[in-house]
Amino acid sequence: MGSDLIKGHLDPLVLAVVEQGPLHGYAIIEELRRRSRGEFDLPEGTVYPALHRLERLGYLASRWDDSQGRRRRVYELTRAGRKALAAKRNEWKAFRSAVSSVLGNAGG
Amino acid sequence: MARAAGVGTIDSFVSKLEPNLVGHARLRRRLVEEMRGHLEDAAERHQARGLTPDEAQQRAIDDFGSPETVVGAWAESKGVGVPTTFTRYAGLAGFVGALGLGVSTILEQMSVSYSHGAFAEVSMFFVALFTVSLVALYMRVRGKLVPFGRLGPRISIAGFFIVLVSMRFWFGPGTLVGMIAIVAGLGAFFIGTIRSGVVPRGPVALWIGGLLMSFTVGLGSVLIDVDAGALIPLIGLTALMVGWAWLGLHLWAEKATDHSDRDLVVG
Repeated sequence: MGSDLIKGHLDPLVLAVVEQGPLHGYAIIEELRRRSRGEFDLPEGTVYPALHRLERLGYLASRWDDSQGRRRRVYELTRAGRKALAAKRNEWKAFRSAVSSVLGNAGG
Repeated sequence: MARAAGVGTIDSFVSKLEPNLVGHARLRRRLVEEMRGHLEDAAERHQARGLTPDEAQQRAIDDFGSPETVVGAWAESKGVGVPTTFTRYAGLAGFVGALGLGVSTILEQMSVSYSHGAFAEVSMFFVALFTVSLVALYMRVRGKLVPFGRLGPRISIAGFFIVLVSMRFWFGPGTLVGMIAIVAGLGAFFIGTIRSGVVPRGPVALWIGGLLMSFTVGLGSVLIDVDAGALIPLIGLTALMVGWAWLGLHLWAEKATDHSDRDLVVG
């Protein structure tokens, strides 16, 4: 899947991954790839600007973690981030439903 | 701290990133440290899957994206280098300023309805509009400027203050040095702007050409008493105005994205 297509949806995808618990950048990207069964193939370095932007917006909080031998910045969802993710999920459901109505079912 | 073998490759990659990131030094250091940790994690993972240390690092770097991609994404996330409401209206101001100064100059040359004092006052207004559009252009391209391009505006500002101080205290050579600094700084900025690829090259090239034409002829007449007549400076000024108006229109025509930061998704 093209990185341009993912780019427009990267923020809620990142929030959804971090929802399961605190994760560092590399683990977030691995999880994005795993959950999308390898479909989300974007330059890994472009996820960090998204993480910083989401932190600036107050949707993520971060701290350094030295517990596993290497210093890593760990991100977790804030209350505002949880609300934003819920809103985005509703918006996505409505959008998906509307698109399906117009396009019709695959093979139908 | 444990590190993947042959960290030199990752180090050289990170060293290419750091100087080109925009933002506060503390934030840049944090981002670079995170990215370095990411690359080392990835290289270790690839090495564990059977790649040699060098191959593992190269694979980690390839997956990470080019320095230009990462720097561009970072600048965009900071709202740098994206069209905003300010850059649009400042572009329009630049367009009006260019036209205004052009018409004003023609009227002055034709001695129509203008005293020299009125011409200077009107010109100052249009130059102010030009300055606003120059700031907007800097904001628009800042994220993608090479280091000497970012240095350009600082050299010009220093030159401007040298000119101000010199004129105040009547230090003739200081004015000349200041003028050279202003033009050199603008030249560096505009060459950096062309290389950034953010705005069309045509108007910027016209701008630089016009500036150099007007300035070198002016400087020649001061330094070696060469009278090149009015034609060359007039052609230079015309090129400068056309380039400036064109750039202004380009900035005005862009779609503002400065409200995207309030939304969750940035496209």
